[in-house]
Amino acid sequence: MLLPVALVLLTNTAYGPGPADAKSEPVFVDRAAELGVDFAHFNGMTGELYFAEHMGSGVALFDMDGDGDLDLYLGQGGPLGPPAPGGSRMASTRGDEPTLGDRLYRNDLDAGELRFTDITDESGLDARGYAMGVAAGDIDNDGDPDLYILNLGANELWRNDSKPGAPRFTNITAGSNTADPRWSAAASFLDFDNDGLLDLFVGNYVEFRVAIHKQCASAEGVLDYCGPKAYQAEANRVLRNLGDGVFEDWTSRLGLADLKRPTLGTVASDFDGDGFTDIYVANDQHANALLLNQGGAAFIDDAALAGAAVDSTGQPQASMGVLAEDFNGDGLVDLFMTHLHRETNTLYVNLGDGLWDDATRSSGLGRPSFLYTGFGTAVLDYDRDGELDIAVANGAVKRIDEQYRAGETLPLRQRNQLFRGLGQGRFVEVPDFERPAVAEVSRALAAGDLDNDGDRDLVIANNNGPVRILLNPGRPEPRQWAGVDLRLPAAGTAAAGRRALGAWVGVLDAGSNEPVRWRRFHTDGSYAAANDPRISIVGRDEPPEVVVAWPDGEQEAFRLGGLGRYFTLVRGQGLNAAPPSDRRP
Amino acid sequence: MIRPSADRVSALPLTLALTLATLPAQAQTALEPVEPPRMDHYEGSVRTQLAQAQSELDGLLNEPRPDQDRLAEAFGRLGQLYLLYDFMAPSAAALRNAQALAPDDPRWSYYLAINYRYEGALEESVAALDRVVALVPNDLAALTHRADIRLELGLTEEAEVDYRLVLERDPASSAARLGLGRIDFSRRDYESALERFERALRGQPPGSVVHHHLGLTLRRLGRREEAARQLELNDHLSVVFPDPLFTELQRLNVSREAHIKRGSAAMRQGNPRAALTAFLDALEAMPDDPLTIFNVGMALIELGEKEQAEARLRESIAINDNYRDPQYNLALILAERGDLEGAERHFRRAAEIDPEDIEARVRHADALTRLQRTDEAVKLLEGVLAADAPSPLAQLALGAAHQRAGSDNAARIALRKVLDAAPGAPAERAEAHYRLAVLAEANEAVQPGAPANAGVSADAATLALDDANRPQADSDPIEHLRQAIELDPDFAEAHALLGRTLARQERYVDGARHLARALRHDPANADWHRDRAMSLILGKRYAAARTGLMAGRQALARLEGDSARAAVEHLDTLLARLLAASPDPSVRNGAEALAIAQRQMADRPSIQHAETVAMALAEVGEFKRAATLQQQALDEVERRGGVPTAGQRQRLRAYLNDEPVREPWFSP
Repeated sequence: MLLPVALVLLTNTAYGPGPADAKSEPVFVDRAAELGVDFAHFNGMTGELYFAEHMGSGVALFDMDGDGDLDLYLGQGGPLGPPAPGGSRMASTRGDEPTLGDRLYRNDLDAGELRFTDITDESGLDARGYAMGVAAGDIDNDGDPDLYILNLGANELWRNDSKPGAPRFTNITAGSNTADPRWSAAASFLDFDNDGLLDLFVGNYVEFRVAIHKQCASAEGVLDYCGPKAYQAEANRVLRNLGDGVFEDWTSRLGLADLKRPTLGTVASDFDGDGFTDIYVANDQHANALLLNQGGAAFIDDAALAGAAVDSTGQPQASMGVLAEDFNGDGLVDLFMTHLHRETNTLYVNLGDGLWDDATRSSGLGRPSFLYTGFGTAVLDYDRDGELDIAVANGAVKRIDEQYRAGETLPLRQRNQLFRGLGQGRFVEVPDFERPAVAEVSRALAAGDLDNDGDRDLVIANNNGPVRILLNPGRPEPRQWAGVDLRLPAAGTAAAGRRALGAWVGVLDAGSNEPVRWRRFHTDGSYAAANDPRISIVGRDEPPEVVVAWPDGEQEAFRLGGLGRYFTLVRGQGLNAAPPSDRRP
Repeated sequence: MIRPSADRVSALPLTLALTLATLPAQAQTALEPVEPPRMDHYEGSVRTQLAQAQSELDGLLNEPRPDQDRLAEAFGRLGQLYLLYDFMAPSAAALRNAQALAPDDPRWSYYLAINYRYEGALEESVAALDRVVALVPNDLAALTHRADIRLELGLTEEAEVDYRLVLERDPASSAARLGLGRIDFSRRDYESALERFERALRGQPPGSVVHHHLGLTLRRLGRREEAARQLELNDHLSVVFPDPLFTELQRLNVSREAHIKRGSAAMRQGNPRAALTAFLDALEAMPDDPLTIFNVGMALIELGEKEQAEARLRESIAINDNYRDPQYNLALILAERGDLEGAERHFRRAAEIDPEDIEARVRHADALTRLQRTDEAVKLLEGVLAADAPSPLAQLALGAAHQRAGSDNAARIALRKVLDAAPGAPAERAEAHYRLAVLAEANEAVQPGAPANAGVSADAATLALDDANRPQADSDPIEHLRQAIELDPDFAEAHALLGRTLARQERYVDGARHLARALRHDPANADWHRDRAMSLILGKRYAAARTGLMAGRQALARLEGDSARAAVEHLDTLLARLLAASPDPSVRNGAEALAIAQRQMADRPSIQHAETVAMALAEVGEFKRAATLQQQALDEVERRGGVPTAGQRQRLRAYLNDEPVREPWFSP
């Protein structure tokens, strides 16, 4: 006799300490409305339960105009298809469908107060696709981040031509060969061939179109959203940057054309320390991939051998958001990803020698996540204790009976979660971290220091609902933190050029001169989001010394010039050329 | 959006409260209200099933002194159903009531354990399983579940005890071996883990998930290549164990979704009969669901019941003509049975529904091509290619449309584009090679510098220039066919054409070999049997020719219809002549040849059959009768206004000289 699949799936669980161990903590406070962000996502649902409508949308935190504070980009949905028989299209949350389209908000912190202003129209950024996510990276090495918008349908590449006080974006999709027409959910900017230009890895999901929409039902026969296995998975895509805003599709050349799995999350990092950036790909209900870069000539999926493809029982999980950080402080890059209800979120701990181990049970991250469906996720140190914490944006993908019974139109709401790092790769859930306490259909989660006070704030994009801007109310003493922003030198000069995405920052212990914690400098990861790459170092009463491992593996030490603000570190301007330590992530 | 209404099964808490006082004291304290879910949107079969279970419970609760066992059974059944349909809170409440009323019945504790496990309440699940094991110490399913959960909780020593208990009682348990192997792995005892995993896999080879554990263990042991091989074999099928109560639970599922899942699994496993049954059950649950009707149609297609399948697909489309797949598959059926107009109509509709479905658009064009509406086909395909330039499928179809229209230059240009595209699409590249071979065979290749056809002048000019630089092989049909076969070794038409082409070049044996390869894929193809036999005869492989002809007759004899009869007649003539005139004496059999030839002559008299009878008569020594019959055949040729061939006159002279014929290779 066969044990049914539904029960077998439960063997994925691996548990540790639950929220009972948590201490009462300060909460994050939603201040979106008072900060001037009135954005609400509209998913266009009609009652047909189109697969894509409950999956979006994206958010980006990026310094658009180089004024030193984070601006905000929010992806929008729109009508998808005809209404179900007898149904009618739900009204736009904004009430004015013609204005639908992604929105760009300028952070006016430099004027003295944290406040956002909608500058979509004046910026020229007129993106009206059905947005699913967004990635930020400097494709033209001019020092500012450009935007790659991931859509259900053709993606869009917008070049950032902004100057302080003069926001300006130009749509360069046509001719750039980046308009991937498939459903894309995640992307990472990386320089896979070390030629000095940021290339693009585009994570595609499934072959869904309204025309091939399927009807799926829950166990008891109620119409419900389909899962990814109802549709063909799509292949990911690698676009090599040729310069001048033109990309070339290298997917086949790099051996990735036949790797078709539904991707929802990507992180780029040099996982094997060979000086070439690799990619970890989080796939929905399929084995994850660890694409090791073979000197820029090919990628080979090593996830299964590395022990990072499937969970400890050998089963693939529904991976969505993903993080790559040194969670247990051993100097090696670990992986965390969010999963479906009745799976756990999973932490793969790096054992070295190209091996990872599913350490979910001992980490304490498994059990509290078992009944939630996690999407976006972010790393932060909200309580400034030097240990990494993890935030997770939750929202179901299958009908929640209680909400359905209450007559809700989108009964997928779940509360978000925050896990406090205890050290040694152990975590405990922080109860009621969000105020007001809400349960929403949360998807993208981006983290960044919106008010430049040294701690990370959170922006959560809700499906068919308002965006939340959760500010960390804690305010570190200016003398107790310093932050870094990493830049490569502009071509032919020693001046700061584009950000060094994929680099790592190690904070050096004053006594041993060894890195005590490595942090990844990135904008990618999470789900459908682009993050603030800057890293802040807390708990210091004098300017700290750091070592930077640049994306090609070279290391360089820097002493920060003070406390209470961010410092731009440019490659080649450090204390010495020789690596201060042979340890690296 | 999902909108429930206020339709509920009943208001259980009130009736429950009224009844509690009549129950024994122990049960009174344990019973708790069961909040039923809303039912309005649930499908009828599930709603009816739940309502019946609820009604039975209500009936008992309304009795003055309900029987405690029956009440437990009613709560238990309701709890089972809620568990099955994923209503965890009411399920747990109902099952706890059942457990309280019948504490010695292990079923309710078992289902509670499942419920708790689904809800992540692992300690509670273990406690419920403790109760099951206390009641039934040999319940291996309960022990295995408890061990698995304890392992998940990190209680490896307790898990190990349970797994060992299971293994003592069932030494064949792969689930227990897998669990013990995982414990060894966690303790870094990789050698022991390896042995346990290997034994678990031997005990249950389909449990491919064990390959994952084997792979990781080998990796830890530094045996990287072996590890990689094992890991590739993990297609995520779990190790299973007998679990009667869970199986019983699954059997209760009457939802359409359960039937559909069962049917889909059966289709994947290549069991369309079981799939059909399941889909028909689903249809009973939701009679007018067009996608379920479509599924029924697909199962019928797999069963070869094309007519019934067609009816189901038409039924699905009549209910909702906005689904692509029924339109597309109906079109496929119609195209297969030659209703090209019907096929064209439904491919067109499929492409209208999903304009991004290149395959539907290309097949639509293909139907137009076959209807000789090549202009429309070309226009449609050019539209596809303008939007999806790299599509080799569309490019190939464009080549076929031009070929059908007689625009061979344009066809060659389109087909070469398939070959010049980036590697991939092996099927399309093979087909392109095949078509180029056909064109080359027809000797219609554009010569360098030749004037281009109207409408393709630029490309044709390019082609002409290209031709000057292309290797000779490009217009060599044999090279094209070899490449087609390299790309698709099972490409029967390519094998057949290569066989014929080689035979024309007097490479008879090679030709016969390829025709044999073609016949493996279509054993009833009379032309290929004939061509193979002729190749073998001309290659002097007479015995092989005889065997092949007899196999061909056998294969064709199973078919019905005039064309099949004509094909058998054709092969019979060849066989009779081979038996009568083979230079190899071991192959000749005059009596058999005569019997075949005379039967053919009796069935359908003709000059050809008369000549074959004459040949057989000569072989059995009846030269006079042979000569008479051959003369009559020649007279008949002249009477019809023809002129006898030199061969026919030569055979007559042979018979008159009492000589048999030893040239069986002239074609009938």
